[in-house]
Amino acid sequence: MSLNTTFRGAGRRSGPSVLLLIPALLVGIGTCLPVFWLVMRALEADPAELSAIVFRQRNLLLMLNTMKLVAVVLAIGTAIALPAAWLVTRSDLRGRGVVSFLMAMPLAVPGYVMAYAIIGMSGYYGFAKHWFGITLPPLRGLWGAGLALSLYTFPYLFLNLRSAFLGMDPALEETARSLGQSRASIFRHVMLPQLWPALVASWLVVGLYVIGDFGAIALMRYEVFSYAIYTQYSGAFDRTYAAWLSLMLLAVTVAALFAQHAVTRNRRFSRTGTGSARKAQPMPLGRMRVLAWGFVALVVIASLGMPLLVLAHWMRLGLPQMDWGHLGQTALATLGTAGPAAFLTVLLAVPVVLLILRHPGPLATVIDRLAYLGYATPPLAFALAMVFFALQAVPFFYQSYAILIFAYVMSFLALAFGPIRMGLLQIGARQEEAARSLGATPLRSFASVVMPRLRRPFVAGGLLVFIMVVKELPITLILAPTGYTTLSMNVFGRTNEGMMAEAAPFALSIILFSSLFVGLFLKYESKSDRQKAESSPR
Amino acid sequence: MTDTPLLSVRNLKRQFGKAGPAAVEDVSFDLAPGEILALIGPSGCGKTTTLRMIAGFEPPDHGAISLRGRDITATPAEKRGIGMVFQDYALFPHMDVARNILFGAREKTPQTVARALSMVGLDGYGSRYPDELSGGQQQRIALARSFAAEPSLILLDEPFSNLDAALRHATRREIRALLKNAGIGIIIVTHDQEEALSFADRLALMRDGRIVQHGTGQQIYDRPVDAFVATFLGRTNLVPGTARGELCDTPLGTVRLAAPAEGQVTLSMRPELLELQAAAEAGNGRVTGVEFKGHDMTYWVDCAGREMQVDVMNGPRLGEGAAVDLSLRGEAVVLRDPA
Amino acid sequence: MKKTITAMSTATAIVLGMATVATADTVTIYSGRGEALVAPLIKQFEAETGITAEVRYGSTSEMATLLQEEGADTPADVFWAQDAGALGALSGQFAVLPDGFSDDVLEIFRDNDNKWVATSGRSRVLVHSTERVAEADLPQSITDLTDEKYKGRVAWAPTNGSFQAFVTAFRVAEGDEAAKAWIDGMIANEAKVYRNNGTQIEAIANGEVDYGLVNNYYLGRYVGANADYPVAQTHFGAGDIGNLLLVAGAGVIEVSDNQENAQKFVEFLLSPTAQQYITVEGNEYPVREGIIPDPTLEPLQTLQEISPKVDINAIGDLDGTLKLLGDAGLL
Repeated sequence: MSLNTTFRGAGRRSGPSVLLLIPALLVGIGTCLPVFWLVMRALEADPAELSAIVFRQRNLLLMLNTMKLVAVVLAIGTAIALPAAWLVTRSDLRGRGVVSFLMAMPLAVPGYVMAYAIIGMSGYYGFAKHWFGITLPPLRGLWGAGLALSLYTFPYLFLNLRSAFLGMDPALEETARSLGQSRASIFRHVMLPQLWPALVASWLVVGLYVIGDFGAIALMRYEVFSYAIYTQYSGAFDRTYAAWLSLMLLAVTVAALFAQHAVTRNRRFSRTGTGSARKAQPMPLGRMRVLAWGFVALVVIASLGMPLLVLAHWMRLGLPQMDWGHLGQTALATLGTAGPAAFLTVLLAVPVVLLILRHPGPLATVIDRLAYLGYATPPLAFALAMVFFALQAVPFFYQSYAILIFAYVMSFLALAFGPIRMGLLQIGARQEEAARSLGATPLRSFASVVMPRLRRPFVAGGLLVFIMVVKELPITLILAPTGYTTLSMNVFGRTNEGMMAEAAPFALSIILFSSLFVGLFLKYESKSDRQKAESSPR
Repeated sequence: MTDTPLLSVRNLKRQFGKAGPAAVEDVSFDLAPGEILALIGPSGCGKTTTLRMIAGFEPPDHGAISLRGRDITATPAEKRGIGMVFQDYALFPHMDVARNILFGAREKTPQTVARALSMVGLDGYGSRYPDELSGGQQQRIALARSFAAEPSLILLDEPFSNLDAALRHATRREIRALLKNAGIGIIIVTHDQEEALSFADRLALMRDGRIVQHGTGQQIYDRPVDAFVATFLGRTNLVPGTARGELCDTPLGTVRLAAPAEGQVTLSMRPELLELQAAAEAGNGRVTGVEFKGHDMTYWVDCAGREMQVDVMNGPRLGEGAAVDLSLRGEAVVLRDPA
Repeated sequence: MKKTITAMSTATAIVLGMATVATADTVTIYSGRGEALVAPLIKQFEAETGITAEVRYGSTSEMATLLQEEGADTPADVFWAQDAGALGALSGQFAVLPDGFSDDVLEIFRDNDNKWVATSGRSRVLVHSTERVAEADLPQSITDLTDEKYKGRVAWAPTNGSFQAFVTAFRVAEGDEAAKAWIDGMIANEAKVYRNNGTQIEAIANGEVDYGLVNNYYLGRYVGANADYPVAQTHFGAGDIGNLLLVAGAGVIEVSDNQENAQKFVEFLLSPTAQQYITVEGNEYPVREGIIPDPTLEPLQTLQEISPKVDINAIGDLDGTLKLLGDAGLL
């Protein structure tokens, strides 16, 4: 195998280069470890009790509840994200940059804070009680959990749809309009098919997240499958049955992955036109402007206003002697793992996505799906598997930052795939071929022609991973070096003891901390390729 | 012309997917230095795949490619010294024109940029970005970029298809002159017969992955091997006949053949080689349509139930329904299609 | 971009290179108790002994699972757990403590096998709304909660460790049948499931339910922040199983090669200083004599009188309880 074939358009027989194979292999091993471990633990089961645990009718109910919850979250999330993405890319709404920022921000809100916020709107401390003197029963169960989850996962849909809109050639819509199609029909027949891959890919990511989430669901008292797994680990200290349940959950994930593969297969969405796509002519909103602003305001109040109010309320309850130095140190420590983890994740994602796109075949498909499997593995199982393998294989690295970051990378890799895949598809292989016909080596072609234009997806993917790592809990709790604490560990430690006021500054820091990066990212993203080339040192 | 061809392609084959016909099958040709070859054919005939195999972007399943006698079949694209200009130009959008041109240039000096730009008539455009250029300008920059890398062969993939008609004619002539002066070999892929005839020295006509015929434009036009070639390159009338040596009996009467044949054959008769005469009585045809085109006219003539096109430069102005005598000037070409 | 990449690579390299450095005089503690409560105690311990404590914070269940997974390779010296269930699950990994180690600990809080020591006591209580519950409505026994008049008004947390310990005690004291009957009765009476103690209290304040079954030290934190908080707590009648006395505790890991420092830490937790701190800051009961009790709590003396006579050592059968709860569809 040689470097020369690395970036070949359709080199079937000449396999991919080691530069692509090694990262892919690493991903394959890293994401398979938890599955191995789960199978190993599962095999320790006592057959009689096993059937009682695995074939309980209640599992079916929990699975059904999980599916319902996924459906509700995806429906609410899409209902928010799709119009929002359209507004900031296609309409003449003012302050689209600010709106984009506000729509991406809720990603930074930890799930349990969002759940607390929704519960806190009503109830004893709630808004209704505070301002109108009435105590409303809080929203719980399916709709409460669905709302809480969708209010902080919709930004993921939003960001993906937004870049899909940005990458879509407006000429297609204009053509459709000139053919006398109504706006609704254009949306259905022209835009939706092009948005579809981005939509399905982000549904998958959000759906898998919902399946594995526990924080928000537990507060909302809605019993789903992850609840059963959590109970086995925490209530029963039983790794064997938890392993069985985790494997059942992974089986569902595999089914979802196949489904996604089936609905997006053979869809091409790189632009076939020539030259650079023009900017879309903003569509005047006219009298709908009021409605648009109302929509934006409602979403912002619900997804950002509520959690911030709840945090402010907790802090008002009596800010204890805050150790601000400790807060700062913790924030820095969080940055110290989240930064490298995000960076390494995208760095690993690029060759793996390249392999998937440029060398389609069984290997690429398996690696691609495995990355999603890693993402869907219950984090507690993932972390315990890493404990096991680290102690077996590299005891020296046990409870080191290396293992922690490795676990983050493997578990969040799939998050970086979306933006990078989209970026590579939109760049296409043509430019690289042009570079090579001018005598550039494959590596140089990639570095000088593709990489500079991959910056946007690179930053986007990194940011998604960064925010997830900042909020992450189970993996951090289990794998972090002893004595290392993050912002989210502090929030957890305090809410766990019922110390809401003490937890609030840390939770607020998570949101503010992440918002800095969201802002940075959007500022960067809004520049065109050319502006970026101009502003970067030559 | 030297003895060794610049480019030699032998028995190329490429198949996508396990089943189905090959995209390219048994394609062989030579290209002399300074020569322009057009690969033409309908879309999907394998011409672009052939071009990509020569460029090195597509590995052939079978066959050999050599450049100046050196086998380059397994040489990576960037080491072949073959430039390629893509249909969509593939300019790097994040680099200005000068950096685009310098990307592959041997000598990375401002003079190189100036020379390349002046060659394509775009002096002073070095600091523009691709999205600030018109389609024609982008096209010429793409060409200049290829030139700057000093290849011995340039491949053009439908290079003029994105230009409007007026611009296309002008650009084509300019670029042809430019390439001829540079003395490097060119292979152009196009589906436009007129472009192929006016731009290239030689043509290779492809169908279903194979080269059906190649030769100069005139050779192919005058002596098409089959109905596909005859109709793809220009217009023609396909007429059945019974051949007996150099002569052939047809509904037009007995005509002379370009090459001797026997038995039932299909003949190609170019419209401009047919003659019309107002018939005194019934004649052998009747005018069913007249198309006035200024410097000439096209008549549609029903001849023994067969519609024939006849181009007439100057002659009698006949109206629809007129009875005419139809005859062939020169020789009919026997096609290899079954009669 | 290049600069960023270089900077990030450097940062990555530095971070990856930093493995945990063990100094001579340290002790590694896995704490299932929250950092906010524990950290000041740790500081005090370090100041008193000169030993550097490396503390790993997490939930009790996660830390217990981690210890199980690490097995003989664990870097931990001490495990401090929130409930006796986790201590029981890990008793195989604890070292037997030296004789006389728990002499200062009150009889009722001692582990028979001397594998772990209780570090604080807590009591199961009934919390109720002060707005919707009258004195006369309060149940005398936890079994009263299956009555029609409590239908849909009671919160519980079947996944919570303390609740499960209570169910185990119920089974020990009154038999599996009685426990099952009570659980079925509660389900039939539409008891509402919450995740843990705190969420039950909040649910009462929010008006979702009127009663909850929790540990004694949670309400103090809400009332401490807001004196008008509309929730109060009480015990059931004397001897009722609902008043069960439970413990948090710590054990020394058997495979630790740092037994001395580990024991020093556990000893410190039993010291009057630490006990006083836990009592006041944690609203819990001390495990030794001579500690000024938390003024918001009923005296330990009273508690001992009203709590059921169930030996904490007898409530180790967690599996049976989980099966019971699982069969009832609660897990």
